[in-house]
Amino acid sequence: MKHSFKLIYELDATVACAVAAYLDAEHYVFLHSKYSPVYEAVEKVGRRIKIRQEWNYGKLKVSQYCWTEYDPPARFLNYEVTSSPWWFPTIHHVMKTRTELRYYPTDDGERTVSDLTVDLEMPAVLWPMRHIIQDKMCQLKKEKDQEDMDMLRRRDKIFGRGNVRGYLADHQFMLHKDDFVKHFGSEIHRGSPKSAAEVAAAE
Amino acid sequence: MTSNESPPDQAGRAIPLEELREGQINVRVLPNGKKAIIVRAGDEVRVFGEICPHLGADLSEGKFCAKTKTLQCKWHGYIFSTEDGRFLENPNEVFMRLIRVPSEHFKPEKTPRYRLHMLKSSVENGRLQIGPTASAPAVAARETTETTERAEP
Repeated sequence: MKHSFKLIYELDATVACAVAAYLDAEHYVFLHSKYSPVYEAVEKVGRRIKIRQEWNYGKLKVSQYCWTEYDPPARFLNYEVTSSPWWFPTIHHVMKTRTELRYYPTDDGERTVSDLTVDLEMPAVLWPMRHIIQDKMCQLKKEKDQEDMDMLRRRDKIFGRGNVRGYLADHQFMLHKDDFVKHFGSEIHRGSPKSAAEVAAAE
Repeated sequence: MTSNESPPDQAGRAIPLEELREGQINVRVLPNGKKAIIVRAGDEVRVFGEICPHLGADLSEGKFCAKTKTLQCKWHGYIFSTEDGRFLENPNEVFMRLIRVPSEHFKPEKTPRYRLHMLKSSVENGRLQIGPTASAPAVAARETTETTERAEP
């Protein structure tokens, strides 16, 4: 049985900053540490990356695999969620999950609309719980976005609104960086030209 | 690792060392409104600015490990030495090794030699003074004037 829902709200950040935060994979297990202690790339095929997350339940390590896909400039897909070991009971054994996240600018271009569509395919036994599952997924998305927004607001405060210069630096790693630079590289002029190190040194 | 923070203190006041908890991040607000990150091991005190030289995180929210004398940033997990402020490790290089490959716009060989910004400080008569008024050399005097180094492009 299929259940779909949408979650739409605005983020107080430019689309370039919102996309940068999404593709900035190095912050996933640290800023969002309460959700997953491990976030590892295990396979890459074009703009598709297979991710492994891991949780510890006592001595048992449980992994979750998921394909993520980037469709530039600002569309992100997640699908084919599976669990390991196979005998560990998780909802992903019986439910298929597919998410599509799109970012687009508000009319003034200064904020971002976050438009999430979730498609769930579940057995009849889970159907009565579909709204509970939906609420949990929405809560998780909002919590992570809040943590990202705290990061982006601080960066706006230090480096100026819409500053993505730190992400565009040659040495800075992010997922699909060449695509990001192709679509958002022109935003390098926004905000302070100083690096974090230069700002820190001026304290 | 611990991440407990002491509450912001009265700006500019010399801080008795006994007020600084060992093995934890101590935070004091300076007269300029910026936070100072203070870590203490016995009489040795290190004082850093709040801004992570990587992407600007608030280091007062990081984790301090007294055993390894390291500070880990909350945003990206970068690990710095609290002895001299040097960048030591980016744990993501392990998690993301499969896809951390050089490309047109990702050049890991250009990674700057990040270093925490150490603030001028001195310890006199068991009290820590932070900022330009600090007179006598602190225990960590040799670090007090170091600034962040960057690799040449």
